[in-house]
Amino acid sequence: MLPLVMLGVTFFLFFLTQRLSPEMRASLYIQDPRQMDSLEEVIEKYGLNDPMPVQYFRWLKGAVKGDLGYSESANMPVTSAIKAYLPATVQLAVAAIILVVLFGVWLGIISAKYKDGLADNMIRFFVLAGFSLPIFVLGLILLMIFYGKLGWFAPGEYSFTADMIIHGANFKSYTGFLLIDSLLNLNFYVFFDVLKHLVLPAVTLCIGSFALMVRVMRSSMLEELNKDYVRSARARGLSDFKVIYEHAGLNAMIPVVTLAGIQFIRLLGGTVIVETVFDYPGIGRWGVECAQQLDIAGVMGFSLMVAVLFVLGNLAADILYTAIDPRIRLK
Amino acid sequence: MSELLRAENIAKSYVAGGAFGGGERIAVLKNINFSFNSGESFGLLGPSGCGKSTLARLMLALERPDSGKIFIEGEDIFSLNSKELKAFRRKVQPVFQDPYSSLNPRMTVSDILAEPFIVHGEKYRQSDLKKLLRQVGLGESSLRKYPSEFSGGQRQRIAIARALALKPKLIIADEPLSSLDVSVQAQILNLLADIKEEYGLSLVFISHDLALCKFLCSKAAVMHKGEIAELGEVEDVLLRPKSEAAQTLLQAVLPLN
Repeated sequence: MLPLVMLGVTFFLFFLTQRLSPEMRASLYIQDPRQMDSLEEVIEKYGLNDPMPVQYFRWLKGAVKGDLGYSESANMPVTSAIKAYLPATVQLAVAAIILVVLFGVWLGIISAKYKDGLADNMIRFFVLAGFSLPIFVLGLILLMIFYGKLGWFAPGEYSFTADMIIHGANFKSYTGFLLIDSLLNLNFYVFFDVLKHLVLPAVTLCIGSFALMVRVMRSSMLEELNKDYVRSARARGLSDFKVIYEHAGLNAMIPVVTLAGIQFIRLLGGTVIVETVFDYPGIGRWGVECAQQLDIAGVMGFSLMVAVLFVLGNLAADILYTAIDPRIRLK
Repeated sequence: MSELLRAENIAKSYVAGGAFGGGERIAVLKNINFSFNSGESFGLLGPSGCGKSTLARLMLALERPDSGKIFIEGEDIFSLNSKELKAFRRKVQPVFQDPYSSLNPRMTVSDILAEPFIVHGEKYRQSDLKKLLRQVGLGESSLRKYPSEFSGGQRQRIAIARALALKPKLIIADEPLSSLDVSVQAQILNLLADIKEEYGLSLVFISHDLALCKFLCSKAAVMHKGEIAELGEVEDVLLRPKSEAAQTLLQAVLPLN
């Protein structure tokens, strides 16, 4: 499955980039207009005029060896760029998916419990309203209120002071994830600083996935509540809380698990707008830069990474299944 | 013999349709009256959609009627406080129609059988659970398994064992056989008859099959469109039906004989 998806995605993208003339692709390597004479040299050197399958095969050979080429826009090899930018994005997506699952499940349960009541209608209205709001509009509104007016949260990944500490001599980088590294360094100032900068982008990011999560949880919960084991649990004298959260809730979460896996990957790949609005130095912003600067190696690397993540996310969801659904427990 | 259950003038309606409220009210039960003594079993017959299952949920106090009362051992079950309601839950237990949805798939058989004890704060030993399983004809090795590892008939046995855990006085069996195939039906029917004897409990047996009802029950009622069309001793209802509804129901099975 994984190799097939990767081959498909990269081949398709490679095909698209070949629509650009060799000269355009070569111009990326030239910083100074005075060097334009060497255009032919560059085309020759990188084999940009070769037939497409030859070029694709050359790229593939490098990729298998772990060499994805050099990203001009990031000024480092593509693999290093991914390593540098991915942790910030993963941090952001994890924060968002935690919000989505926690509140999505909870609101879905409330919605199902009070079906067609006031709470249900309010939840459905606001969730849909949030979903309908374009992500950049919501992001800008939140920035206006919480940064412009209240000054609580700022854009970026961390403040200037935190920047000094992180790049100082005493701050060791263990994982690349600042939240984890700051804890390992026992530097709580940086930890809370990074956490604070996560709030607005994470909230903005999760609003879009929220609607789907609440809906799936609501309908799944309604289905479970109508089953006889819930009735019989009530008839045995279990409290409402236990019946709804322990009996029905856990069973209703099974479809939510797959959804969460897919949504998480969507969030990882879909941080492009949010990272641009909040000036958050993650993989999405880098992807945009690559595309704008015709950094083909960068675009290929970015897409390949998203494809890999997609497959891994589905795998993770399948594994989570076995934990939550006893019917498919492996022996 | 003392009276176990008495239903007085029960009426129940649901609101159907209407996404913005104001849907139509549909009467599901009208003017339901019946009673039976402890140790006696009561058959509730009728075609699907006649309100049998709604009546079952009312007798379990899972829903409230629009009007009317149900007394169990002289107590009005709709005016109990939470403590009395919990005591009532020990006395009356359900067995539902579909054994595939009546057991929580996340719980092992051991969890399922232990839960009634835990909820009612009663001590139990592993041997109690094993005894329950033996009584419904399942082996001790079943305790560690999940419901999905059992067949429909075995699942229904587990549901019956769960209902028996706290030694109830009344079991309300809502079409407990209709999702099982015929050979299994006979086994479960015998099981129900056996435990009825052994525990001395009463059974409300809801079904659309008259022959099954005759096997288990001493009294019976035939329901039709939310009302009781015929009520009496099971022989009278089955052999000398007066109402048209009972005759129609009876004729529907006759060609088989």
